[in-house]
Amino acid sequence: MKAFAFTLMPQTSADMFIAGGTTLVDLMKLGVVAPQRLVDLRDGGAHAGISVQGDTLHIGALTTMAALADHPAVIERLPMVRSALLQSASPQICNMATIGGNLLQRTRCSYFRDLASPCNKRAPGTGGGAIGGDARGLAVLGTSAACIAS
Amino acid sequence: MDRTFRINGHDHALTIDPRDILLEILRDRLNLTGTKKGCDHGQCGACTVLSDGKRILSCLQLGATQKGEVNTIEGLTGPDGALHLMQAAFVRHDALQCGFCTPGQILSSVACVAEGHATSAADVRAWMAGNLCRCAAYPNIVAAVLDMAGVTEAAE
Amino acid sequence: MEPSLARSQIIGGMIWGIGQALFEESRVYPRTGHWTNANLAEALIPTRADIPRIDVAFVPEDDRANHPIGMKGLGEIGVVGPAPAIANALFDATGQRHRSLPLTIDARITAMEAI
Repeated sequence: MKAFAFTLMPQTSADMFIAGGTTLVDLMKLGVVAPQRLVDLRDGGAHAGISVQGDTLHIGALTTMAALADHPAVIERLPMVRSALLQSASPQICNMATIGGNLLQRTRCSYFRDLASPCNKRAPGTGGGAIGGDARGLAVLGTSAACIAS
Repeated sequence: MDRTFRINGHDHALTIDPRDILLEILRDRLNLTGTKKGCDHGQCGACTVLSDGKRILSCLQLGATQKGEVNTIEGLTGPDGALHLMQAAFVRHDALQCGFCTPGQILSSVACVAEGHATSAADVRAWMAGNLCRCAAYPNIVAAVLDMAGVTEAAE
Repeated sequence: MEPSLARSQIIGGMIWGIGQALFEESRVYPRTGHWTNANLAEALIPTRADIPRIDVAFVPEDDRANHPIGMKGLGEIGVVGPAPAIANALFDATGQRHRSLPLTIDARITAMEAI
């Protein structure tokens, strides 16, 4: 992967942030993303808390998927959320990946992930490889003429 | 950048590049080649190690962001070479064929039992789904894990 | 000769057969000839969660016609049966006769629409 600087505090708006790293390191290895500077977000737990206030569950962005799935309030009152978390990734990934990162996860489209393939999302204007190509598992809603990735 | 890694109870002070991945630090810098590189993209589980007791994928872990104490397969064996009980269970139940996924399977199994997720064959199948085995030793691995967890239902 | 090894080999073959029947395929992007699913997240092989209980039973026989000491190789035969068995089960359940693998949901929907 391309070289990058590593820091604990953001310095410019061009910085990219890393928490669990399960999407970012994967994409950096493929060369799909190549940050100039990476900022480590994990800060000893300040943003990794879960609290219940009445009917509202507050989830810190750096809470891991595993910690959320194992929280007593989630087990007791939100079993569908627990089930979704545990089915969406392996136990190892659940131990690493954060909820904030889960919301920011990039598409798994194989054209996006392959630098040799045309991809309007990764390189606008190069064409939508999945359109007319292997589209199994891609989006049926929220598509455009340029991209059908989920 | 300088980092100190605590691996299997010992501290290792290394100078690393931000790009260095924990899996390669273990294998290439520290000669701990028991942990295997399977897919290198977090999909197969062969690179599973324990970080502060939790199972993680070392192929997706930047060395620069690694914070906890790491346990690898080498750390399970006793100082006199005695097999860890889980390793012995794997041998007893023929829970390996080519052996490439086995270090990851064993560490994942140890964590699975410690997490309390080995209460039934169905549980083990779900909670160990992150470790692929192309030789398909799955039923025997489930039997080994249930054996270690003290569960006596019919395996598989 | 070695019963536990023989059992493990058959289990391995059967699980390969299940994977072949239900998951495994390589997909190509026709314009460039690239494999589009060349990774384990998309070229699916069975995980532990996909495999139910498997029972293996051998019918013992002493076959000297195959080899003078009665030896037989069994490394590959486990993979032969599962795909036809699953395809036949699908036919029994749905009336759909599929002649290509894997037996995916989209293949079944396409077959339903063709009826």
